Amino acid sequence: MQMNSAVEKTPAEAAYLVAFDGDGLPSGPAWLDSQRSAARAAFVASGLPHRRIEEWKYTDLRNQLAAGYPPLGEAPLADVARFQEMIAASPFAGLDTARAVFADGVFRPELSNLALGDDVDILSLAECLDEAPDWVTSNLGQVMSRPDNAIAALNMAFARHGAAVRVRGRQEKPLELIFLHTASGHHTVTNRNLIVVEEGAHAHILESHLGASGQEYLANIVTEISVGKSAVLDHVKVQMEADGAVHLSDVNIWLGENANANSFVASTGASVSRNQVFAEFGGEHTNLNLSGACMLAGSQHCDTTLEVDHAVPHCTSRELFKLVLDDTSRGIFQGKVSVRPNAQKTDGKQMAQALLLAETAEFDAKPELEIFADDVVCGHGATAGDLDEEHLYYLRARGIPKREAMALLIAAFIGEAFDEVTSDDVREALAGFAGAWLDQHTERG
Amino acid sequence: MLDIKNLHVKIADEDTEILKGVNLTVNPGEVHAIMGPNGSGKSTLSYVLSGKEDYEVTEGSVTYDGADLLDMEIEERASAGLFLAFQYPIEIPGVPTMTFLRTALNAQRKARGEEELTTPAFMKLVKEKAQQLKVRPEMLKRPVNVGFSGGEKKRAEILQMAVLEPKLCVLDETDSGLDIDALRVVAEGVNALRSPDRAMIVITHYQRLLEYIVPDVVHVLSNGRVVKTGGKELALELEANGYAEFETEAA
Repeated sequence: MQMNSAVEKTPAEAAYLVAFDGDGLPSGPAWLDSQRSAARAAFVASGLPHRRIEEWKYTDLRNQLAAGYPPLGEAPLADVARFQEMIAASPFAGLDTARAVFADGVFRPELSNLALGDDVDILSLAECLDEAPDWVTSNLGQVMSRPDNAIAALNMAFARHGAAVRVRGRQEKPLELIFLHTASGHHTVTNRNLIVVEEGAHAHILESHLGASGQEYLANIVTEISVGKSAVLDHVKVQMEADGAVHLSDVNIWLGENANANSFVASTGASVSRNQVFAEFGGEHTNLNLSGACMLAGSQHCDTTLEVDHAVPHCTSRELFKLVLDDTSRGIFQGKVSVRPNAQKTDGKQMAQALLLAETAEFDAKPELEIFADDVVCGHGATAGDLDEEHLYYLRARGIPKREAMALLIAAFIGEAFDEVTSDDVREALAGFAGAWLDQHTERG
Repeated sequence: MLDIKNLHVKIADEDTEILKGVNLTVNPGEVHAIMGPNGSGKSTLSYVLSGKEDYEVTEGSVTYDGADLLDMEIEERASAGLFLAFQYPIEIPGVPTMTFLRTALNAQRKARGEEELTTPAFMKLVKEKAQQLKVRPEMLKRPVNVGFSGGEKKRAEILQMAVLEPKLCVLDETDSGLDIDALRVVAEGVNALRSPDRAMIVITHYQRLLEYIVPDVVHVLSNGRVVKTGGKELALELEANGYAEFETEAA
C-alpha cells in the first residue's frame, strides 16, 4: 500500500479528516464501531487514491477532486414537488415499481412506496441500525471485505442512510432505489445499500441516481449484494448525476452455488464517475453477467473498474461494456479476472468497445487476466473506432439526415449492451434513456 | 429529369480519372440501360449520382429536376426522389429493418413537407410490398441486411425502393448474384414501379436482366465515356459480340 503521510493533504482529503473529528460523524451502532474505526484508520493512512496506485492509474482522485467535499448534514426536506418532478424524470418512471427514495442522502418515506409483498423486507438503514436484524448485522460491511478501497472506507466512515433489502421469494415487481441530489455547494452524500437475496429467491433491483443541474456534490455509494444458493439477481443502475457532480460507486456481489447474477450500469451523468464492481464466486455452477453502457460528452470522465474472482470451479462470467465518447470525454475500462488454482472449468469472457465520436475523445482499456488454473476458457477484447462511414452513407442514401443516421448507428452500438438486460420493460426504458441522450446530444451539435 | 453534361470524376485523394466526360439525358417515363465492361465507370457513375463522398467531380454538371444535383447532400438527393439500389448492399448490425425503413420514409416525407406516416399505415404498406417481392416477414425482423443471402439483399433493396417510391431509380448490377427465379421476382418488382413520371437507369454487365426489364435506350460506357447509344437491340448486339470492340476503341 502506498503511504501518503509525507505528502501534503489535498483539500478533499483535509475536509474528510476534519469531518472524522467533527460532530457530524455517525457514532455507532456498537456492532459497527470496529468497522467504522478501521475504515477511518485506513483512510488516514492511505488518503485519496491517485495515479501511482495501479487500480487508479486513469482516475487520479487526489488530482481530480479540486475542492473539499465535507459530508452534508441532514437538512429538512425541501420542496416535495421538486423531488417528485425529478422522480418523474427517472428512466424507470413509466414502470410499475416499488420505490425507496433518498433525497440528498436521507430516506424519505413520504416519497417512497415500499409495498412489495411479504417476501421482501425493505428497511431504511438509518432507522434499523440501532436494532438491526441479524441479516443486516451479519452482512453489512461483510459481503466482501476490502479495507484497501478508499470509496468503501469513506463510505463506512460516514454512512447512515441507505436501503437494506432482503428478498425471500420472487419479487412481483422491481424495487427502484432512487437517489436525488439537489443541495448546493461542495459536499459529500454517502449512501449504503445492502441487498440479501436468500436461497432460491429472485430479486429485481433498479437504481437511479439523479442530480439537479448545476450542483457540484460528490455521491459516494456502496452497495453490497449477497446472492444466495440458486438465487437470481437482476440489477440495473442508471447514473444521471448533475454535470458538475462526482459519482463514486462501489458494488460488491457475492454469489452462492448455482446462483445467477446480472448487473448492468448505464452512465451519462457526472463530470467524474467511477463504477467499481467486485464480484466473488462463493459456490460452483454460478453465472455472473456484468454489462454497461456509458455515453459521455464535454470533458466527462467515466471509469469502470471490475474485479471478478473465480474462487471456485465451474463458474461463468461475462462482461460487455460499450462506451460512446464525444468531445474531450474519457472512458476507462479496467477489467480484472482472477482464476484461482482450483477454479477449473472457469468460463470467462470480457469485451469493452468504444465508439469515438471525436478525435479528441479518449478510451483507455486495461484487461487483466490472472489465470492460475489450467483447464479454463477465458478471453478478453477491446475495440475503439469511429462510426462506419459506409453505414452512414447507406442510411443517408435512403434519405435519413446525417444526425439522425448517426443517432441510429449509435443507438445500435449501445443497444448491444442493453440486450444483456433480461427484463423487456427495463430494456425498453433504457432504450428511451439512450434515445433521450442522443436527441439532446445531436441537437446540441 | 436528369441531365448529365461532360461529367469528369476522379477518386478523391487520387489522380486517376474514372469518368472522362459523360453525357446522358433521361426523361420521365424512360428506362435507360447502361452497359459496359468491368472498370468502365458504371458503378462510379451511380455513386456520384447518389452523392458518395469518396469521389470528386472535376468538371461538368448534373441537373436533376432543374436543380444542381452535385450541390445537394446525400439525404437531400434521396428525399428529392433519387434512389440507388446498391450492387453490394451492406449489413448494418443493430439497426432493425423496420425502424430503418420507417425512419427513411418519414424523413423523406418530412423533407418534402408531407405528413409522416402513422405506424399502422406504415406496417400495412411494408407488408403489402414485401408480399409482392416475396420478402419473408422474418427478414423484416432482422437488422438491416444482416444474415441475408445475396439474393435476399437484392430483393430487400427493391423492397426499399417500392416503399420509398422514388422518381429516379438507379439500379447498380441488381442482377448480379441472382438466380433466374430471384431475377424474375426482382424484375417484376421493378416493372411494377414503371410509370410515366418515373425514370430508371439500369446498370448491368449482361443482357439477361434487360429481357425482363426492357429498356427504351441502351448506352455503352467504356473507359469513362458513353461510346455508343442505341435502342434495346444494342444490348443483344453486345451479348453476341462482347465489349472488345469498345475496349480497343477506348485504348
